[in-house]
Amino acid sequence: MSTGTEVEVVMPQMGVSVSEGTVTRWLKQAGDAISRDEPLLEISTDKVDTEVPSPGEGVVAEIRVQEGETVEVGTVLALIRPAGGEAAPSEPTPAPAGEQELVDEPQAAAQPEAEPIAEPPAQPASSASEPEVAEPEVAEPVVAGAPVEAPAGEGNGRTFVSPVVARIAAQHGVDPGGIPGTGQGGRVTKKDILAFIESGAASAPTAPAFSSPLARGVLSSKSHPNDIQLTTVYNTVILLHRGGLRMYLCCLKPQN
Amino acid sequence: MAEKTYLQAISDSLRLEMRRDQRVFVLGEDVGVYGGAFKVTQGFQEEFGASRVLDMPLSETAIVAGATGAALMGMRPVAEMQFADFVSCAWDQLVTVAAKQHYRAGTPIPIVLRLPSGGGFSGGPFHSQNPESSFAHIPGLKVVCPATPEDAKGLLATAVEDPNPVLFFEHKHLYRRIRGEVPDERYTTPFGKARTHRPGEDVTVITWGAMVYVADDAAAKLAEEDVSVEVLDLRTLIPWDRDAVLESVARCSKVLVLHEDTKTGGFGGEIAATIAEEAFEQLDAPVRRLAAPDSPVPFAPSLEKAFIPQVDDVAAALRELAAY
Repeated sequence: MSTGTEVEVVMPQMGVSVSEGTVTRWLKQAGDAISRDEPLLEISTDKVDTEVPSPGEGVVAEIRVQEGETVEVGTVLALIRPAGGEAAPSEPTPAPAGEQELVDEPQAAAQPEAEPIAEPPAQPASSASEPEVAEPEVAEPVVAGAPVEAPAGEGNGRTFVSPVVARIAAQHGVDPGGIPGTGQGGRVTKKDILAFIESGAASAPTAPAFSSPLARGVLSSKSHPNDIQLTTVYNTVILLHRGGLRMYLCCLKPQN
Repeated sequence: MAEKTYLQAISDSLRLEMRRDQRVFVLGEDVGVYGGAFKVTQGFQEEFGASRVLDMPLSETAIVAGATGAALMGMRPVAEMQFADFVSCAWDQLVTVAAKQHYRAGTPIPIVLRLPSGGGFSGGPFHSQNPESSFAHIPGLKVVCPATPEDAKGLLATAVEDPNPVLFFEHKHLYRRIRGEVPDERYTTPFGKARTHRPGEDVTVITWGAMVYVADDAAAKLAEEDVSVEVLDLRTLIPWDRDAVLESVARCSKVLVLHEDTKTGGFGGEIAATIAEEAFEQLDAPVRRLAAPDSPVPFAPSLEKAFIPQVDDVAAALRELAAY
């Protein structure tokens, strides 16, 4: 058990039938700095010889069992004190990893919230801890957001053109930016662009109004299948490769 | 034509195969005197005799190995695993021997393994699995997952005719719950041809087995919300009907891949990846997968319900796709 300021390193139980273990080698000495999960010592038991990782972060404050000594499972082998001395507010209990496993969304893993959680043991409690506590909460709405978000940074669905809409736009020489969108965040859906074309709102491809750089780029790339064309329209970039068989969509700042 | 349960259709088909071809015989645990754990082979010993309806010891290894040996000698065995879950005991005979024999030695192995699979009845982790993707991964095996009585009958006949080892996944939850018109005479249903269970044009659900009905119920809900959902039943996973999938994707442009098996490594990943590779320019939304979570199948009815995709789960996924 921890005192609140220090973490005890105990002889682990390496199997149901194993009751004792021998310290074979200390990898750190008293006074050495150590990070969590860093190998601290080596032990030998009836079942296995293994390294014991540090259950806490800080400084090895005390070594209680010397090399060669055999002790019972649960015996305190050493103490780890948080760096900077005393009073770390929370106990860096050896992580039962369960919390991580419950997080299902891949986005969640990328959130910065993991950092503040890991920090307290390394830092003396101070008023600075308050704003830190707020941080994970900021991240939550992002995690809870719709799983099918448009990749645009501004979160405006109109900036994302789906592959099928891009293809139809190219075929008909239509600029998706000028079509009312009914999809998520105002995105132009396949239905929207087909209805738009059906309604005749799209001008004939030969008309002078047909000046979309997107359409020009697409047409020229199709006539030269091996060219790579890069054209911009509003804030969507479509890179066509080998006759448009592969399309990559990304977003830039508005060009005009 | 007569209305038959899914189970009766399988039993009828097997009986017709045994009447048609003297080389066909069945073997498995309790398939003889007892008539099978689910009664698929009830009355078979009376009609065909104990030498063609073999009660086997409690060893899936022996059953599959015996079937493989008999096939090598020119027979057409149909082996029953009491539950699909236990086929793992016969992994080596099936995957190392039967699946590779034709490649190694040029000798066909025309065996059929009948695999009662799937959950929905609190069977727990050993009696509810859908291990089709494990075997779909093995070159040399064919994987069949019928959803309707008519398909079950026709696909089983095709499986018996096929010169390769065929894994015939029969969904237990469909055995007595699903009825349908089934032709009386013998017929074969080709492998690798999907079936449009429900036509639609806004979102397509690609699925198989018992999930066909879950998808159909969800599609009915969405129809009330003016969203037209297509339900494509793959019928067989190896081979699977890429053309039908890609055609449906080209029309609907939004896709949900649904299966009762767990998500990671499930066959839905293969379908989703193929769509991304071959139909990228047809997509109007990300390809979505809905499957059981990566966990053993729980016993508790409430947990099992949370585990197996339900109509509301599918409807919610479809709504999201429709709104995208």
